[in-house]
Amino acid sequence: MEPKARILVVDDEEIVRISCERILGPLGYSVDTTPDGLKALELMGRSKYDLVLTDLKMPHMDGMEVMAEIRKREPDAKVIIVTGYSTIEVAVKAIKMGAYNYIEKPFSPEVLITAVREALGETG
Amino acid sequence: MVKFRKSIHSLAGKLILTVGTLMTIGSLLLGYFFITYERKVMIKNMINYAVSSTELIKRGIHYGMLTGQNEVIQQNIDFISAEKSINFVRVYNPDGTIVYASNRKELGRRPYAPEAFRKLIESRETSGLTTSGDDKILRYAVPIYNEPRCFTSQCHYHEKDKKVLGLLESAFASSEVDYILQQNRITTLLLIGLFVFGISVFLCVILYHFVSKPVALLEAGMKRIAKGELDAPIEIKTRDEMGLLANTFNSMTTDLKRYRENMENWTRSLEAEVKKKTNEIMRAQEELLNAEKLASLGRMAAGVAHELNSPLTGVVTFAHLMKSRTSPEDKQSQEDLQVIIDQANRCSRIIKGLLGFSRRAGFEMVEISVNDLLDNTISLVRNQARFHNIRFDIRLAPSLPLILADPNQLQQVFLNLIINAADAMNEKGVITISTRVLRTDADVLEIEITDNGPGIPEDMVGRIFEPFFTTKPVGKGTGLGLSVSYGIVKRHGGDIIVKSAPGQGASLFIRIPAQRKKTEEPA
Repeated sequence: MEPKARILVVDDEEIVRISCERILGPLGYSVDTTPDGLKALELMGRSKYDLVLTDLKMPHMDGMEVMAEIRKREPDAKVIIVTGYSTIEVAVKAIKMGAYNYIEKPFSPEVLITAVREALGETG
Repeated sequence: MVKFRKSIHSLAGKLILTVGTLMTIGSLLLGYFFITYERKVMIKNMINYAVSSTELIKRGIHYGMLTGQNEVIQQNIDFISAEKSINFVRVYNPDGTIVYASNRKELGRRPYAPEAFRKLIESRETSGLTTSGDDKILRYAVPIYNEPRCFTSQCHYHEKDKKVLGLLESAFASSEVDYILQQNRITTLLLIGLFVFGISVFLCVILYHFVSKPVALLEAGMKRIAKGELDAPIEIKTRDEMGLLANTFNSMTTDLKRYRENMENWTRSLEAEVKKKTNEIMRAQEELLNAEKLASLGRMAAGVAHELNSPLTGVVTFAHLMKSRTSPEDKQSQEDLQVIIDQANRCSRIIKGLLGFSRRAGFEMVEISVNDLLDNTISLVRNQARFHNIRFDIRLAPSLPLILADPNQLQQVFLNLIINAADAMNEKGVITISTRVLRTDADVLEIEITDNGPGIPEDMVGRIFEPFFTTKPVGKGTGLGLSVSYGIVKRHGGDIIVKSAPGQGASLFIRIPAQRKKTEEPA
């Protein structure tokens, strides 16, 4: 089995970060977490990530800005927006700006896993 | 019956008093002049009578004197003085001694002093008349002159050069004249009184007919007007000033009546207009309050939603993790954990519902076909499990005008209402969906969604659009679907109307303004 992808979770809520770790970790993914957009970009400068899961509303830097920066620096990295403040308009905007997918909180483990696998091209 | 003024303060009273007074004064003056004149005439007549009577007496005793028959003279005098109007007759000799008298006791007396007697004789040519006012006697003295027959007669002798032979004095009672004058005075005063009284009565009648009666009628008419009775005109048919006044007054009353009617009409229409506007304002205020309530609820919900979704993620995730760790044989634990997951998801649905309120901005208005949108929505739900026992009766009117709307929002409304209908029927029955154009001021599209469920109880019809109001069992509905739908339709300039009777299902009518012309693109 080839080494699993590296995933970065950006969310100011600890419970969300832990949830993602606890769902994705056991599946063999290498999961890093950070509560802050700026720290996320710092981490990405140090190591390469295949997928970033980011919240939209965060202190210092919101999800859209984080995504824009990632798209600039790491065009290959996929971004999934995870938010509790969901409207169709925001979702459409996120997809237009280059997000791979869009997940609404609260999500069930299946929804998250499916979205991650799709983004990493592991379906089937 | 009209009441007349009877005091002297009335116009008629004043007129009668004035005219009466003037007539009384005038008549009294006339009467006075008349009586005075009559008195003068009578006195003159009496003097004439005295003069002619004395002359007659003189002639009567003339023969006796010529013949010197003293007895005849005395008898003549007695005879003449028997006349009632003659008071006395005296004949004096030149030295003033009474020689013949109607009253024989006076014979030989000298009632005048010699000087006065001489004056009496000399004054013959001027007046010879003395009247005594006190004893009401008119005296007349006439001298007896020496004539040729006297000094030629044989009986006695008088010197030829003697001029005056004596004096004849007669007195006449004026009481008769006084009596007549008194009678005339009384008659004149009586006539004046009768005249003044008659004129006053005549004036009273005239004034009553031409002044008091019309004035009383006018007064009564004015009082009626003051009381608001505008239907009884004043009946004065004369062609004088009073008639003119009454005519003018009547036409004024007619005008007044017309103005009052106009005013009443205006007041009525104004009241109706005010009532209508008040209702509109109340309705608008109610809607504004409702909208404001929804908006503030939405703002609060949006804030809370973001905060709650993250912890709910934790709840769902860890329940799932725990469930996957629990042995499948431990059915109780599996079920318990599923309850946690389901309830967390329910919380999430409630939050989603609340978020619907905050979607004010970001409306994407496009021209859409309501029929197409309904078709899409129905095909979305038709295959869901809860619609397996529901038949759709679709009656969409062809060639409807397009509407300007946000398709996502409107689809949410249709979904909410269709799901509500299914829930109301316990997922078994017929849902009728129809569309039509309402021809009112502006063309309005109406979408009707009707179920044949138990209907909405009467006391709840007014509340179904309130947030969190639900008739569904606990856990089944959030009570937000209809209020969110209401908010969306309102934001499209439309309305939702409910009609329901218990036992006969419920109908919801969504009304949205249609685009009048297709070329009328929104700005």
